[in-house]
Amino acid sequence: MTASLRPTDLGAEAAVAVGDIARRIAGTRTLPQVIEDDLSSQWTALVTGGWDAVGIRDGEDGATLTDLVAIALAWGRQVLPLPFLSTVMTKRWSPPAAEYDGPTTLGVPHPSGQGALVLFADVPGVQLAPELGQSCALPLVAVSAEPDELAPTLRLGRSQAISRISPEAGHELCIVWAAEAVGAARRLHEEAVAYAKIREQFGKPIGTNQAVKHQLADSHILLEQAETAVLWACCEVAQAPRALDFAFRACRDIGGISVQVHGGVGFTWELGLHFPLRHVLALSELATSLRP
Amino acid sequence: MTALAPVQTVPWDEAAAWLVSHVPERWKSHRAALTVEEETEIRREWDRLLFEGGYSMLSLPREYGGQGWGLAEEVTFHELAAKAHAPDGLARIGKILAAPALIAHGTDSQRERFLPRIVSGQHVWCQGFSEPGSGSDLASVQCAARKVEGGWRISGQKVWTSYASDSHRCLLVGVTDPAAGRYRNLSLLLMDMAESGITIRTIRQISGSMHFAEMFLDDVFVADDDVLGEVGAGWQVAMTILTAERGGVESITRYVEMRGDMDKLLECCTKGTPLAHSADRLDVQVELCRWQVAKAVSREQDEAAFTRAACLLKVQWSELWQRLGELGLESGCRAHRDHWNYTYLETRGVSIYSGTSEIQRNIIAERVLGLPR
Repeated sequence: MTASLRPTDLGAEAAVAVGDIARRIAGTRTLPQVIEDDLSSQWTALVTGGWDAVGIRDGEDGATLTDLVAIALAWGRQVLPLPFLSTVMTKRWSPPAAEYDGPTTLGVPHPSGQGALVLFADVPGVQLAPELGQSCALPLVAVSAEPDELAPTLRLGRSQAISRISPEAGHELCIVWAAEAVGAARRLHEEAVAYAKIREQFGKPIGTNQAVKHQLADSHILLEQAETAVLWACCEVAQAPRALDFAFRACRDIGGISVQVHGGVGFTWELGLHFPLRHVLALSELATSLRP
Repeated sequence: MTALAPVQTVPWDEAAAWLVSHVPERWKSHRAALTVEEETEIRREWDRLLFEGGYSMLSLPREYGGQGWGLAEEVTFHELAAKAHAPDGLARIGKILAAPALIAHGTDSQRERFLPRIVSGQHVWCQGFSEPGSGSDLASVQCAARKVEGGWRISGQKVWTSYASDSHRCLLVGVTDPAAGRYRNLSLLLMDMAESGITIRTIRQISGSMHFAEMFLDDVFVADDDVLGEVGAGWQVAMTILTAERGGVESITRYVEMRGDMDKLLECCTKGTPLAHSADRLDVQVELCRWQVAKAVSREQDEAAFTRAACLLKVQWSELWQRLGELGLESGCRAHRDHWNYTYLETRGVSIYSGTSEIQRNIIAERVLGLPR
């Protein structure tokens, strides 16, 4: 499989479809409503199209890593608390997960050094893959975890179940998480641009001020570079840790700019900018925890 | 691995070997110590070598004398040039700015007259855009073009003109219709630098180098045949030129120069120190410059995606190069003291020329993000 800067036709099609489904699921919900509402019935929209199985490889068929990046970028923008990407990735790297009909997940070492952090730990019916890698056969297990508050959109839980993850699977997971973070950062960026166009102070939109414009231009530059860094990581395995480190930092900085441009309201829990920002912080933590 | 999968077969091993065997030793080892004359000579010679080796103007179509490769190949070649620490040619303005403008706006006769000597590197071009009263506000230029029999007579002053004393032609923006409104009063004139009435005074920069000059024009003749595009369409032609100046080919040639500085910086920063950590982060960003160009090129068929990727290239490479200069100073490396002092001072200019960082950010904010003016 040759890595490339462009997704295959399958990847491009999947990214559009997944992006559309995510947009439909989010509908007109605000960021906090996405967390408050019960979206579990929406899972079927992703399964019906077979998109949860898009990463399963069969010989030369199946999504490339760049395809998964395109899909994660599209999915990440809506910051939905649904275990879509964790299912795609576990199905890709665990045959028992590939055969399971429901959502699947994994556990990574907890940043505190004790126990595991499990994504989407409280999703009904979710099963955890104890092993990710080629020819893994350990059966899935049920998840029991204590809630972790960092990122409500990732429904993190603390447990003892650390999945054994091969270097190849870990490499891909980190890249997909980074792409998802770039999707969330895109949301933060777009919210800030939209707000700067309508929020008025001194009788004019704040976006007419160069001091605001230039911060948003920087946000655009960071967003583009973060996406490029993720694609670079796809193409050069050895450079992935440095490239992804840059990407996560850029995504975090985009979040900072977004909060600043929103001003006082941006700092409130109620507006909900912190949900995508926490999403970025948590994904960065997950990727760091897989570093050798 | 290179950033882009080639769309056609190019013998890359041959190109890499050619670069390694042709890059002048003196350029690699003594760059900061070269005199202006030495540097100019090396760069002029490099243009000649590139042409003879068949590596000049890689992505220019064959019908115009280029190699007919794709932009992806242009990027790949420059990645190899960066590894070989190749110099930047003296004919860069002709190749990067004049050639695309001639193809987009020129007549067949203009292309036939000018392109071959741009490709061969025989003719060096300069850019007569900025004036003492017109920096970021290019449309406010005052340089006057008066209609005479068979052409125009130009009077006025240009400034910040790189390579002026070595140039054969100048891409000059002049006012051909003082009565017309802003943006409709200008024309792009291809001024022959051998015409009488041109006085060039070299300007010394803060780094001590003397790439720039000011030009005083006193009734300089430009023939009707040497107006590029329609009379009055100078703004549109200038925009084509500015787009090229801030675009992918320009950016990848800057990457080549920055890669050389970055390799030096990694040597200067002792491993395991906080400086080495900072250098490593800059190294990532230098590589991201080329991957950003590669991504833009890979999005060529999708105009919106291409613009999103390409609009930031100028800010990206210029501000990064400045940070290289800053960290070079902080390294306190005695062996490269001259180099880092020079680079620090010289790179103060990169965020000013070709459109200041402030103008670049305005463009991103207004034209790409759609923020109100």
